[in-house]
Amino acid sequence: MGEAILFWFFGGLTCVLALLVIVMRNPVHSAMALIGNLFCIAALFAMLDAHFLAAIQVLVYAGAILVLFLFVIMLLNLKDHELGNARQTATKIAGAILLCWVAFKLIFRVMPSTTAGFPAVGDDYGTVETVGRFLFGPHLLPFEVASILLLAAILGSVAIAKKKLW
Amino acid sequence: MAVKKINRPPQNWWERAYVFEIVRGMSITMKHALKSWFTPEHMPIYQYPEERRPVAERFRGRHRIRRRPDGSPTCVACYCCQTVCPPNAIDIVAEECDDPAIEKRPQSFRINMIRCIYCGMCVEACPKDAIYMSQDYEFANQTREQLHFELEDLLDVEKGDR
Amino acid sequence: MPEWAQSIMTSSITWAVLAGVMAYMLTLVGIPVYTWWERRGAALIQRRPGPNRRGPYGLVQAIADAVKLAVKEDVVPAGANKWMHAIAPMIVMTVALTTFAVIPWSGDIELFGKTVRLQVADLNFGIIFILAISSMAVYGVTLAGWSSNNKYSMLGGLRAGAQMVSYEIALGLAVVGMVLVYGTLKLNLMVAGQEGSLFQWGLFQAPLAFLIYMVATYAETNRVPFDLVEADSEIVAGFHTEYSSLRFGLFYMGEYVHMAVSAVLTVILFFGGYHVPWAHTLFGTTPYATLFPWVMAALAALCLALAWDTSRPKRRALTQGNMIFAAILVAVAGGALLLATLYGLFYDVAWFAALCSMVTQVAVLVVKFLFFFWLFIWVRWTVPRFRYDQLMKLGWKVMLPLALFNIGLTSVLVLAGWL
Repeated sequence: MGEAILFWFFGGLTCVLALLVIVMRNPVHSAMALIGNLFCIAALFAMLDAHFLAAIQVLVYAGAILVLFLFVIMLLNLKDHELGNARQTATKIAGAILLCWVAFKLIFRVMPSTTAGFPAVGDDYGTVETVGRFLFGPHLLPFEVASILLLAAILGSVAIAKKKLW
Repeated sequence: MAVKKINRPPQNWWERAYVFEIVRGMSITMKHALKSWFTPEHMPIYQYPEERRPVAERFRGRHRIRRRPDGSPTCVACYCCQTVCPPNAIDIVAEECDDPAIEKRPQSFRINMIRCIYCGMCVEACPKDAIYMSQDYEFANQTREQLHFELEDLLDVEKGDR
Repeated sequence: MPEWAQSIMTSSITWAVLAGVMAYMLTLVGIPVYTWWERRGAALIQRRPGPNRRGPYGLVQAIADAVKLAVKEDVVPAGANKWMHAIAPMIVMTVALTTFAVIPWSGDIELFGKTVRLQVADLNFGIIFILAISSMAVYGVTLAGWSSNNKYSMLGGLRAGAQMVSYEIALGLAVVGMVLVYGTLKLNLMVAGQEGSLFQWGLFQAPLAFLIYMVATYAETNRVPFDLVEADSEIVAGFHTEYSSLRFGLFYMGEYVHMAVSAVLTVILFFGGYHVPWAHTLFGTTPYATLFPWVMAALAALCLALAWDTSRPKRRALTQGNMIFAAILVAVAGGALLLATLYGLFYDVAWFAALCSMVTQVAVLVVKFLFFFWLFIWVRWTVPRFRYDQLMKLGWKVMLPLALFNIGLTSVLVLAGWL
């Protein structure tokens, strides 16, 4: 019961905040809503016993990446007229219809599934040890590929930031 | 503006590591803190309302006007101090005195203590040596008006003043 | 011992609540004392008495300041973003307080066959929880700067964003080094790993990590020498220029709570938490219970010394408050001595001895904590502020490589079996 209440609370909050991210006109408000959204997703992770993932979600996404988002938005400090005009009504309606269709499809795909088929998780599920063993065991290749991607990103940012490379 | 280059003495590796120098500095501040805690009586301070800083002999504080033996002000309202006062802080209104030996006396004698710069030129200018500057510097007040000192505020108090 | 009392004492909720109370004692109740301490410490270092008039040692001054802050006018500047302006101080305070949830205040004790510990939540990723939550603190400061509609606030906010993100990396990597040493992310196991000799302490296991951690901590809490965020000689008051009344109070308290959590974390990671070095060799099988009367005696002695000091004629007239304070101190000393006597009478009652050992451990932790809190103040009034480019250079070109080197070194040492 308690878990269901928490799920609906955080799930609903996630949806509301996600909507706010795209509805809010002020980009800083959008960024704040995104932070809240990521936080709620972390809470959902925690409810799924993926504690380590939840902590990393907060640490990396909400704590580090969004700071840079906010940083850039604040540095740009857009005035109201620089944000551009509001979208036309037709575009809005088309967008809403599209969104409803996707949501409908998704909900009907997800709704019939139950938790009955899933095995109960053990005590060590979602702990650092288990996640670590998975990452550096069966999923070593994707892990290394991701790290190479990050390395390329670092090199790219250095190349952009530095005027003279050598 | 031209850039002035200051040649600082080069630091050795010990100083550049910074940590050790911080520790040295912190030991100095700790020494001071311990000294203050254990021997508060040696602090170079005055606990103000109970202890007061001794002022110099020639300290220029608030003005006072001397009295004659009969209690009336020595001032003869000659306007010397008002004329010489650099910030125009003194405002005198004169009136005739019954005593033919004195001729004039101040009807009102007002010093604006906010304007006063405590230069002491009124004291220098006074031909009767009537005005002098006491060592009292504690006359803070709530309003500006209260700092416009009238004759009665300025007259010598009975039992000498600091 | 009746059944219900046993069930209360062995319930984990009781101890979680007590641990929460402990955290609030050290933060919300402690804040007036910390502000007073900061001012007195500054004054003593600068050879002046500091606030010493209202109440004994000037302690009541802090309460007067708090009241003044609370009843001041709450100004929201024109053109400010009202919502963000209101939320920012709350974020700072909430984040700082939440981190206390995983702090272990004592070790395991046995009560009626059950093991309890003074800790709110024993998360298996405890230290990551602290890093994750404290990484949210930057939003409070940055948003405060942005929402105030003030150039200086904005500069402060931007500085905060850059500084806290930069030093978070060095901090996290230093902590990774300690995780390697202890082989766990749980804070209580980290403390347990430092039991035994003095050289089991994290400080001696990884001195380099300690250095990096301390520097990064000072940068994270925005304290001198890294208080660029509120550098008053450059940008007025930085991010809280436009804050007044209790909103400013929240920032102010948030800073002290952040300092408190950093000090506790330093003790736990590097200074053996609630452990006394060589406790088992010196004081037998139940060292902390054995130490209990001695701790109580020390407390009584301290109280009596302070009482004597307060009632002794000084350069100022004695106030009535001083005598009341002295009386309270004497009463506390009497209570401590009574407890010590009780221990002497009932030391063979298992649950009483266990509770006594818990109290001792908490006392040890608090004493160490107080030292590190004093270190914050001490450093603040010793070291001058860094220039901004120096700060960034130190963070990225010195701290980060050093932290990475430390991780490599620690890994090698751990693999070689030397740590």
